[in-house]
Amino acid sequence: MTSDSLTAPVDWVRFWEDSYDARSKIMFRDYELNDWSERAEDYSESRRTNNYEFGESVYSTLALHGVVSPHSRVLEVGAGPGTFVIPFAKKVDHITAIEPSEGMSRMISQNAVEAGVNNYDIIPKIWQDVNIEDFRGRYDLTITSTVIWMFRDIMTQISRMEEVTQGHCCVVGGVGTGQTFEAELWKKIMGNTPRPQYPEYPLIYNLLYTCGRVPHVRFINYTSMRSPENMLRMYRVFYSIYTEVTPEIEEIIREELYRDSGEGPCIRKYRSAVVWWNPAVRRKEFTGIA
Amino acid sequence: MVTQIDWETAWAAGIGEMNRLSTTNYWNQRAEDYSDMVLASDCNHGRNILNLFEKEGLLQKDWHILDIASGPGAITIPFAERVGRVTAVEPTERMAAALMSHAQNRGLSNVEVILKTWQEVDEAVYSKNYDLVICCHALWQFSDILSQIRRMEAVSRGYCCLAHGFEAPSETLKLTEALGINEGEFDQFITVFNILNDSGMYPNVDVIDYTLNRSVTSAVTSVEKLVEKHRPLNYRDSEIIQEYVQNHANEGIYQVSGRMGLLWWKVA
Repeated sequence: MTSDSLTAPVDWVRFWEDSYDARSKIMFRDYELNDWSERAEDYSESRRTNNYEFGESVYSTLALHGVVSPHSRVLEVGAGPGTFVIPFAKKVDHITAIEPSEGMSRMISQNAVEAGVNNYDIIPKIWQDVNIEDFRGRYDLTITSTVIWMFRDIMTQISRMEEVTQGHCCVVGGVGTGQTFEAELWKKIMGNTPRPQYPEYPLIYNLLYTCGRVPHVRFINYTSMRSPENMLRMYRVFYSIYTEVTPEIEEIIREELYRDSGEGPCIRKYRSAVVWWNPAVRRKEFTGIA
Repeated sequence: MVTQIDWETAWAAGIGEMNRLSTTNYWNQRAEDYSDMVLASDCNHGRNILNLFEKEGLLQKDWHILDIASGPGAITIPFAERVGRVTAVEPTERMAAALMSHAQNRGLSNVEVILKTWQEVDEAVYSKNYDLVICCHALWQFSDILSQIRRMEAVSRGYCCLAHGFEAPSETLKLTEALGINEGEFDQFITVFNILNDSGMYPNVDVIDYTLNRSVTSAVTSVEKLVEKHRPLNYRDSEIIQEYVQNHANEGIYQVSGRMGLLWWKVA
């Protein structure tokens, strides 16, 4: 590699697309909406851990920096079981969930009843099918987590998220925590097939930066707790994307889960980056030193 | 195939030329105009960093700060006004003298200088000695950047903060373009950002606006020295610089606005 090629700007959009394509290449089949309905229960249990610790921590981080307030109208892209809908609804004016999976939508409603909130609505579509002309500038914050890896055309979808807000955008993305369980389980089931990457952070920061945005970042730590049955359900769906899940494979998952957590719930510690930016603020190119 | 990027090697390659040109001698020559800018701007970028730590609810009155490559005190002075003690690491004698003079003029007796480069400082002597270690606009000095950041962590018992240009003042860009000075395409901020993340430090990121004021004389000198860093200054260069600065000055003050990126994290 020459010195010039080392220091030349990286084409992050291409980098993102390559990651997406590398994952697609090893897929046995594509994700379907039913997969997310199947995942609704385990996902809900995970997000509800410690009284919605994940969503609450994100809210606190954004509120501290003036990104969200009691007057805010929020749009959550890919709300799942109500990741942000439930903890945010108690504190903001209104929140709209974009959620195409029936199972997840049912879970949002169920969780909302339990939390005593009703200042929300659900648009049962995938984000790409939402006509943003209907929502242009209607929100103060567009927020999403654990969803952007689904978008090969990442900056098109990010731009659409920006167009519906007159305030900020926020992407919450996981960072590697060095947990070996997932890697070891993958190797046991898939052998030497490269483990698929679901890149979130810091890749998303690089993308936003290179596309002229001015993002801010804070980190949150949170716990996810799931019953062994829900963990098994999650892994069954996950591995069915990459192979045929036979009774033998289910047994490997069961054994590994038991070895890891015994008969009790599986507790995982995670870290996520909260990345937010004001779409109206753009970066001019910076080179050299001022 | 998704390639992995060797950010440390990219940094060393990108920083090489800048490191070669920006010598201690260069900064000794820049001491006067740089000092004028810091004073005329009332230490604006340091004050903005101070405000960030205050807003985050982290700043404590009894903090001891280490300001690496302090220059004439853009960071040191505003922090010294608010915390217990500030130690500046500054190898350029004229910069250090300017810093101590500013401190004295403001009645600050809690500032001291270690007259060395950061690389010459023995980190074992200062192990976990500081609550906040800041290095502002000076990372270009370190070709082995990760080692130097690890040494910063070694002397911090609280936080580390690296401040770097995020967006050049558009006025500066226009002028350097007119002079045919190209400081290269290498993006230091994003490279440091990726080095820190790859190393598991996961810094918080903030972007802060700043405004710098300087006298016309100081502005002209700074740009002349910048040209001389790259090539001999000629008559036409001086004309371009004089005309540009005069046309953009208001009541004798030349003002530029820019953005800096702050990468800061709690040391484990």
